[in-house]
Amino acid sequence: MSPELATRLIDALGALLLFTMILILAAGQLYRAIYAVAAQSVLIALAGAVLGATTHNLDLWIVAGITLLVKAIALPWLLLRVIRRVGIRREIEPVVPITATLAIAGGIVVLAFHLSSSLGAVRQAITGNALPVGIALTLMGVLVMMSRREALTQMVGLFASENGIFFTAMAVSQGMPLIIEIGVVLDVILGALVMGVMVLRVRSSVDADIAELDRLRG
Amino acid sequence: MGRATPWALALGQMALLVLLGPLVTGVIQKLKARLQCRRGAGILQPYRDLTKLLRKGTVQADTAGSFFRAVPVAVLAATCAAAALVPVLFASPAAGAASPLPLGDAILLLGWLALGRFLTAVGALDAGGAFGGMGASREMTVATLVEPVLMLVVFSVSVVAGTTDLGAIAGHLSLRRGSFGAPDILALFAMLVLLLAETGRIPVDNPDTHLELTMLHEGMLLEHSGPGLFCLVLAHHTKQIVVMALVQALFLPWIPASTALFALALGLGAFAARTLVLAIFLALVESSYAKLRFFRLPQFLSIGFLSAFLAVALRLL
Amino acid sequence: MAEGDAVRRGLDQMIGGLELMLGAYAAGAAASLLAQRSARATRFLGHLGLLVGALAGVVLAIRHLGDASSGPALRVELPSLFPFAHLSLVLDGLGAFFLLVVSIVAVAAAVYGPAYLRTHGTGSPAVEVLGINLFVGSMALVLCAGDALTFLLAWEGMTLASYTLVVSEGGEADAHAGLVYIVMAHAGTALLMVVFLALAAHAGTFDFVAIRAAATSLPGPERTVLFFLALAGLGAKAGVVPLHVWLPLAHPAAPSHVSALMSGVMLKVALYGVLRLGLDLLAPVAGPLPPSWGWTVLVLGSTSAVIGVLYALQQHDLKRLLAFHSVENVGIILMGIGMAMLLAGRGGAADALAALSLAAALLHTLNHAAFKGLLFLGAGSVLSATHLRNMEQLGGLGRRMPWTAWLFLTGAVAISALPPLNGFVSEWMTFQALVLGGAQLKGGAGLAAVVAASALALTGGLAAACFVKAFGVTFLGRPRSAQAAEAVEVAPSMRAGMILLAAVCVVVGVAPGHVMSLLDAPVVRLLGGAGPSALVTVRGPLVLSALGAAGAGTALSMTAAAALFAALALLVWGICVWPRAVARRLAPTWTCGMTPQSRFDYTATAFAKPLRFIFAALYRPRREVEKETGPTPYVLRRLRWEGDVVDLAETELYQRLQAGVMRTARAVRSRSTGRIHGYIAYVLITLLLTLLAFGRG
Repeated sequence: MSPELATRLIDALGALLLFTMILILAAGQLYRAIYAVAAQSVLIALAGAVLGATTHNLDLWIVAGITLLVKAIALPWLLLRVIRRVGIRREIEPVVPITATLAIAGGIVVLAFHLSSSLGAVRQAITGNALPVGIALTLMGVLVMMSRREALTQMVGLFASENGIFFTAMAVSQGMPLIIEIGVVLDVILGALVMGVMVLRVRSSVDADIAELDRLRG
Repeated sequence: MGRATPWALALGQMALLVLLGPLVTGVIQKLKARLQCRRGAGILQPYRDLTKLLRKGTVQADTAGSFFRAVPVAVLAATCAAAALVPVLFASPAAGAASPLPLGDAILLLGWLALGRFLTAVGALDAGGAFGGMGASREMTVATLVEPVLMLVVFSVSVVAGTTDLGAIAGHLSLRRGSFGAPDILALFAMLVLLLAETGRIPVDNPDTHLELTMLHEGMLLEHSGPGLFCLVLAHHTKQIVVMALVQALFLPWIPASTALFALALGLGAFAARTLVLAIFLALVESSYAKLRFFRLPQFLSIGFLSAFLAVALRLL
Repeated sequence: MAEGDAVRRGLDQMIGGLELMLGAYAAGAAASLLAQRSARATRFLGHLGLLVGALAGVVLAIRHLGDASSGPALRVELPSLFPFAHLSLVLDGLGAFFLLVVSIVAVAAAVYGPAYLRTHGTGSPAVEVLGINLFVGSMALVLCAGDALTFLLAWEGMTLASYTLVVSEGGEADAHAGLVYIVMAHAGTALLMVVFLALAAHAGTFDFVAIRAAATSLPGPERTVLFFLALAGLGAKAGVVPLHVWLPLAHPAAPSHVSALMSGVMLKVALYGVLRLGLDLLAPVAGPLPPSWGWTVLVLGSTSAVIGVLYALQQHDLKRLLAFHSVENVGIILMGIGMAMLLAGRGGAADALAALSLAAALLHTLNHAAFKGLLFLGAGSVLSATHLRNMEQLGGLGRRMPWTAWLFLTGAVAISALPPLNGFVSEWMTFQALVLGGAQLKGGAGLAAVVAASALALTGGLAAACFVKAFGVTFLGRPRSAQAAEAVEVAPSMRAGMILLAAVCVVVGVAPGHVMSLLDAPVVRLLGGAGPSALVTVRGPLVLSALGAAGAGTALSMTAAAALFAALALLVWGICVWPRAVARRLAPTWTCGMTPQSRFDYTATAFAKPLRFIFAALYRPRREVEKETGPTPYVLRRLRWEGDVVDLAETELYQRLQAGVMRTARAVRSRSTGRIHGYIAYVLITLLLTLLAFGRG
């Protein structure tokens, strides 16, 4: 695959990633956010595949495959199962109103571009716009975690953030060493499992509203 | 080329859009019906409805005066004037060359559509009663939220094309064929959200209902009848196809740049294909989603706003 | 030789015109002496003087703008009243343009005034006549001022004259409005005085020519401080957020034709001050202005525009609504000025865009004066016919006052920036300037400019919503009160005043290219380079062009668009409406089976509810509902709904400021002993300290 085609594809994928991030931020219902993050993971896997085809790096192909399997299929399926079991169909009530969240997201993107222009030399020839987009995605994932009440939505935010980290790593160094990437994915799987178990068990006795957990103080 | 030909082309494109508007609505209705496992009316049904309205008489509220009678005429004239501004079959020959017929640009097009909406809302308040008032109030609110996003989308394309003239933009796009970049993707998504809002389709508004809490646009048309209603319904169909053509002129290139007859025929075919794709999109969205509660609309439209903002940011930063 | 003679003759004629204008205003003011004899004669003669003066002003301004390229600015030395200063009047391109704006609205107000005051007068014809003539005369003097002292004297005269008119109708609310107005105006004047005194001290004289020459040697930071002080002082007079709180109080309190003048014209005089100081006196001779100037003005303009129209939406008093819209339009003009300041002096395409931006701002000045004047005169007609200002008590006036209704609709379409009227033209030019300028600036600055353009689009949408409400609730539907049901159309002279301004709206909207030549003189005076008629009407007077970088750009022919619209309207009418013997039947509106009455019509509060809900963070709406129920809670006997919306600037800034000042004053008062020995002791201590501090050396 020629570098120009790869750059254009990665730019386009960056735009699509930003759009799925907007959908997560503005999601009114839980399953929409989960579908959006699954789509986002598919796009990340595609980006990894494109970059792997250009640089002929086997690690990238492996990581793309892992992302596809774990974060695009397995974990969303797990979260959807939890939702169906517990019956949470209601809308997410955010701590910060959705319009304000979207405004902050806009500011984050501008900030990301400003930051990456001062890190100028790091913008690689192949990956073009990927660094600011990756930084923006990571920060917006944290924004999702900050602004929502439901534990499951916060997991979605964590997944999105990890997608952003992977995209940034791709932009900077054409992917992280394989062992680090697998480590991060394992962390995320563990986090999802713990959260899923907690929601299932705790929900039966108490509402798993994260905002109310502040009663658990020392 | 002489002065007559650009006028003829512009007026011809306008007439084409006005004539094809009801057909697009018919196609969308048919698609929706099929998706809902019904047979549905034929795709020419809107034409039959329009001719029926022309034959009928008028019943007018006794409080309504001369404004009420003037509104449908002015609204249809404004919408047709907007239809003359969109390049359908023919775009400007070269980017950078001044358009031979300065009939208007994207801002004037949005201005004509806004004039149509303003006058319809005024006419709705003339008959008294709550249906018209509620419809007018909600429609103007949605319009307020949609305008800045529309402008941002147009500007995200025009900062790179250096002009807001739609013919020049379409010509510019055709020239840089295939350089559909990241900002264009985001702006296209924003435009699709706006397409739903401007054409008054689910999830923004339900075009098939007449309950006062669920209708925005229909509420403003409720008191009109006969030829007045004909004008307003035709204006609605025309506005829908004009906005679709606007989406195509801004984002989907392949509009030919010559006026040879063969090129025009090719352009017509391409336009029909692209409009069909957009019609399928609208039918799918209408059949898959429910209408949003009115006060959820700002959140829905802010998705569009953020996409458009990101498009401009990616373009300029 | 002959040319010199012609120039001198032309100058003499212009001086004669200036004398005629000021003399007519003075004569009109003198007519107030007849007040004891006959109120009617007083009003007639006073407004006749105003009319003559305004017409002289129009002719003078057009002649000066017409031959801007030839001949220097007009200069008249006044007899020196003060030993330390020479007073002079100078009329250059910028002043002439604003004089034209002032005079056009003054003509309409003069034609409108007498009949209006007869039906809705203040009871004191002397004040009415004296006040309005002094008001317009001092505004003309401000625009013609050739030195800082004349400027300040005329400025103060303008404030005092308008104050007397604001309180002329009597009543406690008007007195409060006048108090707020005069306090804020004087605060602004004080800041202006500081700026002018600093400049005069630097130059050694008050004369503008000398100040301009001396200001080039001012260091940059000092110049910026002076500009911001002047912006604050002038902004208070122009109604820039957050210094706008006097506007919605003072403008409704004055008689309607005076409100038209205050809103349409006095605010522009403040903007004239911004242009004079920012782009003429304080500007560096060559090169770009400091970017902080342009960004501040642009941000202030955007904020004022959005906030002004948001607050206008929630008003139900017609005149208060229009006053808030003035805040919005001042914001739009400032956006154009800010963009011009950002782009000026950078060379190449940026200079052309700066000229476009400034031309857009100036054209919007003219347009706003025309349609705001028209709207205020329309509101005045409604007021004189019904003696009601609250639109929730009006309704159905369209059938009883058709002229007023159609003229108000023209003003409403113009202010909502809808084609084919003049508001759209200046907003189009502002959009082009912002977007093309943003593309020129690139980077974060460009992004900010494009976001400002989308804020402008937001204000356009909000203004349209607001005027659908204002026009619809007032003129359409059923009358909601007895006064509204018995309203009659106003006198022909009042209609004539409104028609004049509506004609300006239509002409500038349909043929804006012909008006571009009027903008040449001020733009060339301030920015140098090519004037708008060389840039914007480069393809002839029928086509407006906005040229960006590399020759690409947009062209728009408002004439062709308007002609197309008219032709289509005729075609549609001819095909659909006219040829048939349309069976037309009148029937009552469906109101779910009950007898239709005005209670079923949508109210203005309900119309604005969705936007009140969406922007609740800005409005902090308060809502109280009291229900009186019958035997069971499901049977409702009475329902009382009360709600309002706060002006955030008032509650957060001014009330806190006021509370702070009162606290300090009370603390100081508690220290006063009331005994004379204490006060003499204060005097002695101050004398001793002053001698110690300044007595040495």
